[in-house]
Amino acid sequence: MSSQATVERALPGALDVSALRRERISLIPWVSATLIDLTAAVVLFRRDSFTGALAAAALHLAALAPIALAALGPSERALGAAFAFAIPILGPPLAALSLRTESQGELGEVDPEAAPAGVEPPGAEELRRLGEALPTCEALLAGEADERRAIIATLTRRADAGAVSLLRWALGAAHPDLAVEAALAMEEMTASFEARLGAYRAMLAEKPSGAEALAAAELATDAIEAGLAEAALVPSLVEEARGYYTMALSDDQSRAATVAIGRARLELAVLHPDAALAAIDEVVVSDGAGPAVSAVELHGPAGMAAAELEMLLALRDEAVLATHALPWESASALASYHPAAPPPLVQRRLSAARRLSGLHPRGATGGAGVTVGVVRVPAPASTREVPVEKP
Amino acid sequence: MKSPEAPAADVCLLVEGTYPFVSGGVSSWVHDIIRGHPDLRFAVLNVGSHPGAYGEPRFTLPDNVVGLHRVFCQETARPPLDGAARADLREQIRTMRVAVDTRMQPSRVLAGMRRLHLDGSTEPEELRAILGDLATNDLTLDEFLYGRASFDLLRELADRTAAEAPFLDLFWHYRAIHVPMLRLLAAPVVPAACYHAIATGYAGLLAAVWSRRTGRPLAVTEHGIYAREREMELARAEWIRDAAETDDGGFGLRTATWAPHISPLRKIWSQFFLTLSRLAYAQADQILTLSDVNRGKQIADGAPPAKIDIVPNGVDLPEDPPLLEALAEEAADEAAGAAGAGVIVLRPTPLRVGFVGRVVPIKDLITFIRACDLALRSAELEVRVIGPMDEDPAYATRCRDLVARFGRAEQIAFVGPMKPADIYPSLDVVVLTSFSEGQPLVILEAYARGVPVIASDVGACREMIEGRDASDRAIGPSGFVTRVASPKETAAALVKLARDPALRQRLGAAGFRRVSAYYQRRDMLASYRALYASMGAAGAAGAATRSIVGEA
Repeated sequence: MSSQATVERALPGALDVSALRRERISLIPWVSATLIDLTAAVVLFRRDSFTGALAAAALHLAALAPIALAALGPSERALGAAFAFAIPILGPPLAALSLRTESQGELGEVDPEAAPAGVEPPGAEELRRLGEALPTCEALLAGEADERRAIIATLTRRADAGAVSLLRWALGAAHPDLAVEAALAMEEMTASFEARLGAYRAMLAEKPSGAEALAAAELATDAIEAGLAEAALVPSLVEEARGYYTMALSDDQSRAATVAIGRARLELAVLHPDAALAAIDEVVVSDGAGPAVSAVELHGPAGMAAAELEMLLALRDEAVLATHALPWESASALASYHPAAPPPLVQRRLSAARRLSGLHPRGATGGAGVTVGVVRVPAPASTREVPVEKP
Repeated sequence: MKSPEAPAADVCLLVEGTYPFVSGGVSSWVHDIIRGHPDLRFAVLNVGSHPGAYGEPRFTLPDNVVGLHRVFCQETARPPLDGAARADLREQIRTMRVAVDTRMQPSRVLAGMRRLHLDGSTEPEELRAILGDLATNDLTLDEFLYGRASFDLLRELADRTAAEAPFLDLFWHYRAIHVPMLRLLAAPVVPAACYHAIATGYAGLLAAVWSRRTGRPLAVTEHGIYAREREMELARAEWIRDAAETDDGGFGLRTATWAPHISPLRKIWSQFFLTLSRLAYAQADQILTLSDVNRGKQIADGAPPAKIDIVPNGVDLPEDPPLLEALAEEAADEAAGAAGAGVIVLRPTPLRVGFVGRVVPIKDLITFIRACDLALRSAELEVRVIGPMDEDPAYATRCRDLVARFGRAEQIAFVGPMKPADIYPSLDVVVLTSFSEGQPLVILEAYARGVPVIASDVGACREMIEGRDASDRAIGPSGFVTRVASPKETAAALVKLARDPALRQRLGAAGFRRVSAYYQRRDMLASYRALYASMGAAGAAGAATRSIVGEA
């Protein structure tokens, strides 16, 4: 049974455009049109007269007939006819080629007013849910158990400063189940962070590597920024991360911009904006009136350098702002204060930095299955080896 | 599964994954129940994960255990097949499928599974009807795995409950949920005068099915609430996505408000575990739990209130009880002295703090260590972690590392397991920072020695510390209740106790009074003795031969 027939059975009267597209377009009309055009050309050049020109024109118009009569959709027929009419001889084969080409070499025009690519507009169901939605805090308190767990699972996956703040707030909630679930989620995230950092430490102890050092430093920075790191151990963790950044840079100077971004995030997270400024200004050349761009563009592919530069300039703005926010207090006076979240101005950019680093935590279990009681909840079918039950 | 010569038991205890292979509160409780009824013959059925999942038994079986039976939910994982073996297997499956579809009659088990997922039954009659279907055991594993009718049920499930889930994922979940159930349904009945499930879940299902098949009475005791505990574990399967995520770093539209969208796969699992509990509740003649808190949860999950009895855990009081009167007088004198002098009495020696329990994540030892680190900045403490550390070595290492990073290795010692008699005399306070508890025996054991307790607000801890009714509360608090995962609150309580020995003694005395009044082992055993008698357990003393048997 053809796919078109299947669709018609499922939905009477409907035409399966996709099925039509997949069918091979017959070459006969296009060959016929080309042959007629060739005949017109011969007539035109052999009979160098007005009647010859008229005959050639008539033949060229006649070349449209096979296309007009072919089994094509209206738009395909119009396209083919336009090609055949506008480009004698070559028009029909070009039209056939374009109609037989599927999802290759297509040109797209980006509408500057349109939404960014990859972001689908919300559907009706999503709009309905958004309309009915509660703020996250209220949903945690007032929602059903399933909703509560869904929220906590999502916060655990995010594992950023906002998520951690919400979970810490939930820890103090009067609802005992909510507090326990939030505590478990926090424990899971902390355990995940510590396990990954421990693994990096072991790797670096065994075989020092700049890439691993950078990864370890960015992981520590992420954890400090998110408020996941043990508060009492933050000073030592910061020292450790600084050491890793230094190691990463000395291993490969082309990482200067990446390291500067990480250092700046780290220093801003522990309220050392002066140190953040210093780290940024090591790679962003300034003429005194403001930062310039040249140093960053020296390294790496152009696209990445631009993104890193944008990040560095944003972090620099934030560091300058932080330096001047409380002019009567030095940065060191604030060092013991551990913010619940990074300053709002840079939140968006910090998130982008995490994506750059590729270290944004995605939960402790990843795509693995989990043991629930005495049974195992399977991992996603797309990521696991499929077991086969033996009869 | 069982040997033919296995003697009939008075009581068949059905446990899931615990006794006698795993140490812990539930296992200790089961062991205690068996030892406390030497005149009854017990059979123990252990529902395990897969062969090899557990090591040697952690408990020596008492003489009145006449049979230890095991049934496993899953097979041991096999290595992936190579190309030739896979092709051969494909042919076997094809042959099997033809055979299955030829002989397959409408299966009542399959009908029961359908109703279990799609009917949302909550009425006892409906639940018992499902149980009746499942009890027929007329569906083999092969028929389930390869039969057309089973696949049709899967498709119906997909259409009606999980249209948004990838079908391939649903396929594997469908198997993961039902294969253990079918393996259990196929297990031969262990003969006994009555059945006692020490949880709902798979053990509760099997007990309910056997009770249904044999007409023997069933009791269900829940320490933790099974469906809730499984929910917490399911939450760790982060890949069962609950909500659409934007890739904007978390600061997009969806964080401003929350539009809950719960994964259909998660819902299927949750509903399944909840229905398992309801099936056991529906079939049970008696449901028992440890505390009012648990009773409320059971009722919320569908247990008929009239069937539920609360039988708290109990401990034996020591032969040399703490000098209660002396303690109280001393406490009163010191309190008066302190008040009169307007100063706090300081104990010259460090406060001896104990964490008693397995070193596993659910006990949240990390919070305990953090609390001790905080408290050590303001008070002198001598901290001991007492309990086995081999159950989760990675977690134990993490805890030790944290102690080392805090630089507290001298003050916080990991001493491993100790005999209960040796633990409490050397402690001034017991701390419990668990994420989840039923009714911890540790608290009762501490009370029996006049040791106060600091515990997180989980399970029955609050009513054990502050009292569960007016007369209990009149005794006064016997410790401090803290929020879950709150090192600051735990540390504050530790510092308070370190600086105020009189308070410590008052709390300890209240604990001893509380355990004497409400939590004695003899009372707990008497309740179960009456229960077993009401269920027809004869109590033929002098058990015959014992059979230790494995899986079928």
